[in-house]
Amino acid sequence: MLLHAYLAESARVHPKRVAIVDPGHGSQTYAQLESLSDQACALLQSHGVGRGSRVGIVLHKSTDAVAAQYGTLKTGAAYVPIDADGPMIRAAVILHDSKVDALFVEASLLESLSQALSQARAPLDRPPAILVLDRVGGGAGLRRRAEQAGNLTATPVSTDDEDLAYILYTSGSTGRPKGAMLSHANASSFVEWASLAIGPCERDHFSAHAPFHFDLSIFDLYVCARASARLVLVSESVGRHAHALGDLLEREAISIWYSAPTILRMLVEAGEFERRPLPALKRIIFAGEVFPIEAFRRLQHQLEGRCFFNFYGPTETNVCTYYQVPDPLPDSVMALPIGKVCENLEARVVDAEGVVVPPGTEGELWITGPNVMQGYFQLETRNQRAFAQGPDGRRFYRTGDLVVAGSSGRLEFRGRRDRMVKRRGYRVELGEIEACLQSHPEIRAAAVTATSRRDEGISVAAHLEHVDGRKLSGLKLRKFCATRLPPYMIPDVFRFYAALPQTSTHKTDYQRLSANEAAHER
Amino acid sequence: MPSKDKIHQTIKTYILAELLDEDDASELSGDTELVRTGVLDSISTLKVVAFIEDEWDLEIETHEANVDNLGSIDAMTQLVASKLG
Repeated sequence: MLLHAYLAESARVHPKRVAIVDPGHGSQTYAQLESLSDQACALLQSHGVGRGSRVGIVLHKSTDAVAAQYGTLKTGAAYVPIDADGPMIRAAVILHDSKVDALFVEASLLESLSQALSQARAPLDRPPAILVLDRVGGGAGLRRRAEQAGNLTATPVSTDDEDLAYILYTSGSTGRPKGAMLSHANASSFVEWASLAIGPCERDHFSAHAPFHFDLSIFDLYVCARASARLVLVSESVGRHAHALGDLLEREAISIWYSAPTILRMLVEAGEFERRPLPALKRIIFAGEVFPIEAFRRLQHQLEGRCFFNFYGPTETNVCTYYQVPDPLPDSVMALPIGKVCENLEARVVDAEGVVVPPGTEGELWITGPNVMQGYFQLETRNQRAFAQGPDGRRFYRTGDLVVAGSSGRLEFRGRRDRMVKRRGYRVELGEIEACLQSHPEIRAAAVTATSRRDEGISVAAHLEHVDGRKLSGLKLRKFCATRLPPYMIPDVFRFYAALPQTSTHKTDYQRLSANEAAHER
Repeated sequence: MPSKDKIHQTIKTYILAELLDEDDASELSGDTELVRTGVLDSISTLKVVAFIEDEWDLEIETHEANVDNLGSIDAMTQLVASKLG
């Protein structure tokens, strides 16, 4: 299945239904969004974009950006969504790395992006065609650009679902971003699975909270389009403010919500769910990082009777396991499981030699099936390490995540393989220390980093948010940890933050915490 | 010979200054478990032993440097008092 076929089909069957709401900039029907994306397609085609091309998209979340993405897919090219709020140096690195043939950029960002592109290491062999959109919002910027070009007509292209649909850049552990390449077949396999798992209908209103460079957006955009439902864009600025988000949930009658746990926690802390009844809200899905259990219990309590889903999966596979949380969640549950393997995929839990481990034993999760990415863009050695061959010859993606299969086959997440450190001779999983600290009633969020000290081995630091913004005595926390963890897992230092630093995808920014910690050690 | 109270106070002051923070004063009592809470690891134990030996001019044998004798301020106070007495 082709991703843009979801839009085309909804435009054919439900042309007058609202496809997209861009708050402050009105809405567009399926017929209008289809036509707008045809205009984007025609613009790109007039610059030579076609099958096998790549198109960078440096636009804020808007109808224009959505139409530009669909337009790119219609040409047969792959889109490369880039954080328009992020540093332009990083945008330039990604545009260079992905060797885009064309790019959409907002007029207000053009100068800083051009500067960053000219500073980037090597000049591009073939400079990309730059399509500047002025005053983006509601599709107006794209429509004006299309008019200037004389409202060209798109030429239909026959494409194959093995063609690349998008490249999502994720931060590499070396600090250099790497581009995960997903084909239409990869993405639509996920969309079909998610549609069955969540069961949306055309009356649903989906939130689009995640930025488009984050793979949560694939659910928002295409599961919604497949259902001929309404997509409500959440701008970057609204997305960060609890009160504005609560307003949007209520006003737009959002029925299906999907975001990182951090955002839901923020709404819980701000009392947004207690203040408003939100009768339309039925399904709440979260993914991207571990939802601290105490915070989740508060959420479930505040939104009684709704369905909650914990989705798990790296960008490289999109969602590969899921857990529908029982209501109420039994008190005995200490951490939310990541659940069972998606029905369209197969998983294997293996030891360091790639041998399957028995249930109850910790191992690395390997995934195979139609969701799994094609590979990282032009990173041959990384690709060799990312995949492993199963005994039956099938290609597995090595997630690098450690899991345990319970007797029911339900998987529990234990942490990252690369977050395992050796301390005083013991294997220490930093995520386990985090889970312990997060179970403290006065801790809102915890992130644990390990830094090597020149003389004294590994130093473990806990970075914490207090529920009332206060500090707790380190010794008090040590006593708390001592009731749950062995001494070699107790952090060396406890630091309190008003708010833990976050990445642009609303995950805890470990790279920044580690860098701060390394600076302390010096 | 210094009183047990004095020994206790001296050790507590040292631990607060060298291994903990001022905020921890109210949490630190004579029976706080220092090893189990990770306050004392192999390196900080050596520091405490060295401090006690210097402060009261005594020697702690290797076999005495264990959790029973060093696991809390009360235990350390007891060890020092028995050596001086």
